[in-house]
Amino acid sequence: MKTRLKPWQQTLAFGSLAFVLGWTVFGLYAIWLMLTQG
Amino acid sequence: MKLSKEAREVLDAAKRHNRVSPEEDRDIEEVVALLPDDRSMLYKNVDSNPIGDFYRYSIHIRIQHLLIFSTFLLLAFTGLPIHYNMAFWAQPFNSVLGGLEVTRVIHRTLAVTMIFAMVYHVLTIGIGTLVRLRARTFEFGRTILPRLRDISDFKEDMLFFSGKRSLRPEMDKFMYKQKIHYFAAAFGNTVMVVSGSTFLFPDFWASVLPVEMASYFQEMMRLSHPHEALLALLVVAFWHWYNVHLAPGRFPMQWTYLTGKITREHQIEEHFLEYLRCIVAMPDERRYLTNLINGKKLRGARPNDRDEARPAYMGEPQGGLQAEMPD
Repeated sequence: MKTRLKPWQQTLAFGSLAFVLGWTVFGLYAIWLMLTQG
Repeated sequence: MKLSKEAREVLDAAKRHNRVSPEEDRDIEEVVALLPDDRSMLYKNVDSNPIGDFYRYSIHIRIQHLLIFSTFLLLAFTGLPIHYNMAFWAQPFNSVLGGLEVTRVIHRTLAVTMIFAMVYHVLTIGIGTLVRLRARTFEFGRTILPRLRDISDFKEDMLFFSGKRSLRPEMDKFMYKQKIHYFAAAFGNTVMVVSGSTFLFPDFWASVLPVEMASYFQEMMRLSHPHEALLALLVVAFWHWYNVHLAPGRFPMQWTYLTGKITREHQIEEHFLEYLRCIVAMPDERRYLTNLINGKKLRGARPNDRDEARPAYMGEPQGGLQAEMPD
């Protein structure tokens, strides 16, 4: 059984997740730049 | 549980390193005998604190990770408008920072910070290894250096994930996947540092390389720097972040990089040999395991390998899933 996260821990964990997913969009943009502009 | 040869060696080494008394030795062996052969029954039933149950990374390693990931993200963020400085957003971006030259200075400062983190890391593992060698507690299996065993671990894990094996392999503190990732990052960082240094110090590189190679090398490094950066960005976004954020059992975030601790469930599933060391070093863990195994009657749970003869008591399912199927 897993211990439940406290509200601030949930905020931090999901905030970090949102950040890395957002950064992934940046990564995709970088790929697009490299493919189109070399 | 009857331990494998590797697991027995790890357990015996841990006992020596912890200088366990004869009473503790008996206690450890009793707990190990209680462990179910089906390790999945253990990690599926244990209590786990997502913040972490067992110590894994020192404060030095956590600081290095913090320095590496923050400089890595900022280097990518400032490197892109330097390389693509004619992009529609790059000019306003560079202007906000004070111009392309300022973006370059920021980029180089971040690069120096990243190099510092790399040197700090090499010193940490170097000194840590020397201390362990001196104390005679060094174990090659606990290091991140690749071993032949990693190949069989990889093979067994692939069999597990394709449903041809019921147990994951018994892996040590670092599993094959982490070793590949670590050396890929080390290689990538080295390429970035060397190629970046050719932009800053072209004269130096021209003076140390043979004349016929110097210009080719410069061209090659000019190509390598942005492409290696993109490769690193892809690996971090689609591999590392999957493993530490999205993978089952880690979602929404693995806390190890902040707390330095790993969960009990994760330790047993992917680092069982390291978990054996916890059993030796932590009397509380032995008590916890004894209560859990007796309380949930996990003793005697056997793996159900398709490639192994099924024990007599585990014949064809009677009832079970079939009984729950609707007519």
